[in-house]
Amino acid sequence: MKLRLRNLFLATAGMAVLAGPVLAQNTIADYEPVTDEMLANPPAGEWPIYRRNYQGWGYSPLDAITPDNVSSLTLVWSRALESGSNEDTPLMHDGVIFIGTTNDVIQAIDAASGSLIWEHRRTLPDQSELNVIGQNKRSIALYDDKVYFMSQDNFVVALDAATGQVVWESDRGDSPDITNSNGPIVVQGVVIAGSSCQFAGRGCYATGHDAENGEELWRHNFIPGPGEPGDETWGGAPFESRWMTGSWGGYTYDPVTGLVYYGSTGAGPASETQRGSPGGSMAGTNTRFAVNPLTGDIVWQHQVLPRDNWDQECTYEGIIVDTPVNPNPNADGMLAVGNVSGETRRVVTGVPCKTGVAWTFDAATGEFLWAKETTEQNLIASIDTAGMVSVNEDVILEVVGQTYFMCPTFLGGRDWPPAAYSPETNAFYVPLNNWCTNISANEDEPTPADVYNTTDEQVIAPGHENVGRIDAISVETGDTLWSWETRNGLYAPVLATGGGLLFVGGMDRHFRAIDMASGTTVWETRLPSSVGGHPTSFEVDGRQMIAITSGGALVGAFAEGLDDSPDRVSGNNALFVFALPGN
Amino acid sequence: MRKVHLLGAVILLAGVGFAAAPALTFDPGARVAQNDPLHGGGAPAAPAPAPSDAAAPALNDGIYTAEQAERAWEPYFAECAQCHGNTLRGTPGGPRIVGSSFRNKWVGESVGAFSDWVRGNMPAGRGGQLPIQVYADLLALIFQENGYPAGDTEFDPLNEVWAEVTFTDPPPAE
Repeated sequence: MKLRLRNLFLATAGMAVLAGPVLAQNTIADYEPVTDEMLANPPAGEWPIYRRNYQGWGYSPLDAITPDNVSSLTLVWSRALESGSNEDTPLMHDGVIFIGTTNDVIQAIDAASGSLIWEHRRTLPDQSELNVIGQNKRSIALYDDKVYFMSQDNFVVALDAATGQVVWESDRGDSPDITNSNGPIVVQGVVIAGSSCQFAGRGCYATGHDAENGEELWRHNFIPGPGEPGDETWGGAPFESRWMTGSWGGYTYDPVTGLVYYGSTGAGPASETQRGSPGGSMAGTNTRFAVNPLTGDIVWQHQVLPRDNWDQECTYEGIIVDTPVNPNPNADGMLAVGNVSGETRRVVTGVPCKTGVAWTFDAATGEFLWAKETTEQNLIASIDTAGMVSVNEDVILEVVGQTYFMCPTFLGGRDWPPAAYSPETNAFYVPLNNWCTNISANEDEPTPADVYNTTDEQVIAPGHENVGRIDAISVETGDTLWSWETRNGLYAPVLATGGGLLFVGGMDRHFRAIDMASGTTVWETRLPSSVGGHPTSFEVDGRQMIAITSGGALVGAFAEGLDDSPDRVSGNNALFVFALPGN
Repeated sequence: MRKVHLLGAVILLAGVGFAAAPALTFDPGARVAQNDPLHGGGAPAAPAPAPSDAAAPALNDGIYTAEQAERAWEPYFAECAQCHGNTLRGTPGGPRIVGSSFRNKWVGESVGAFSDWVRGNMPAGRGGQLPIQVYADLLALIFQENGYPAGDTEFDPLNEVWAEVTFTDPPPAE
């Protein structure tokens, strides 16, 4: 790692006009631009994109920290972050950590010292005029010589990576109805981002913007309009009543197929009776899309949950890998196997919905390969060999006010925290929750502000004593290799490393290392508040670092309910960097 | 183009604007107990004594003031809206706290029980950590948004009388 000189560049312009304390801003000297190749195959010591590579692995090949020595991990430095929601991802490129936090604060921090280099603090409207979902800023994106982020008020913004200065911004409109929580991905010079749509009395979209100048190149609207293909699948609901279908999970890209992968959510309100779409499968909802990043043209699509009455949001990351395809028909929870014969394929795999059901498709064609359930679920009755889903009619929220028992909940199964994949085990490791709920559609007349318009009473899934869980699932066979459990709900992303470890936080304030081979905890420490950030790993001066943020957790309220839970604390956001003891 | 801070970043002091609010009776001992969710269940102990011979206020005569609810919006957006939404109708990450969701859970329960629960458990993971005046105002806002009428006296969560006042269905909207 080269030593870098930071040119101190005092903020004289800002100081002249602003009262109160002003931070000096430095610049990054000789910043190394980020290339497409770098994002497909990052340097071993870097974490330059949300899940470290375009393919969504959440895997670092660094192997200095192992199950045998992880107990020696020690804190290298920590730094307070902006107060509020904290689901952040510390990216690391060229010796600098880039992090986006709540309230649209973007920072560049020296990875070695923990010292701030520059900060961009967006001037936002009052929070009362903004969509609260956008307070989450799970990631930002690095590309060429810029940093890109999605603002709470639904702009795409490009900053100069060396200085933090705004280069351009492009208004997607529709704030506060529409915002973005997961951040963009930049592919072949196009900034691609979905949308958080939960309060919108309309459908939402994914967009592509020119990375150089912010021009909007394409917009993919998910809900079909009158006369468009799929219009007939909305059960007679008028276009004006088709609400809240967005796409806010992880976006991935395959440099081999040249396609971007993302998924859409369900619709609101949850009850199809209140939606006015009885029996409708609702084309465009809960659909996995493979899209040309330059044009937004859909190359293939597959609806993984029709007729959603349960906010199951099939928007989570698709992981792209080469693998032999040998699904085990007798694997625990296997629901369906396609026409496969052991051949090696490039696939898109993972758990795309809150249902907890794992799906695997051919990445180029979308051909269905296999699907299996993980957590308790009673929403999908069956899946056929082509991957077509039949839902359980008994849990359709047909009667408003009537209570139905459903598994999982609105929070999963799985929710936003992404899984990790290790090429050494050819398995992915997905965070899950053993939650079910007694749910009823509220009798109040639904508006977009009512979101799904239900009342829920969460309970632990029958047969379980613990809520949080990580399952290790073989991409080749679909077998569950092990299942790790923890008493509290687990709303924490997973990191996999070349040292054979998984790192994961927890609402109980623990930050843990789990042995990837055995699924047992081999190290844990306790941080000041709930640990819901994305752990990442990178190298500084030849030393492997593990970074994690802790602090505010959006789902804290919903995850209550365990009377014996340990002392959960939220707030006091901070970034922590650990490593083995140095010289 | 949107105006952007020039280089220098102002450290924002996140004031929540209750300095000018009238003070309520405050018992430090109660606050300490309330701040200890491990050992107190979140319920405040030994609230300030209330007149024992006072008649319990009637819920629908107004147990808070409109001004109190109005000034609660600022701390509401700072402390609550992320989970409960800008209109108290919930988000995917937090429940709705108005309408049938509120009525189904709290009608038949006492105002005191609700007040104690909120103070002991909210914000999630930080129960008891807001100033008592802010809790008082936020509770007034919840009452208002659930259709209970405002009155002439500010809501004081430390008044023991709320244990004797039971939530009923709010009066029909006019």
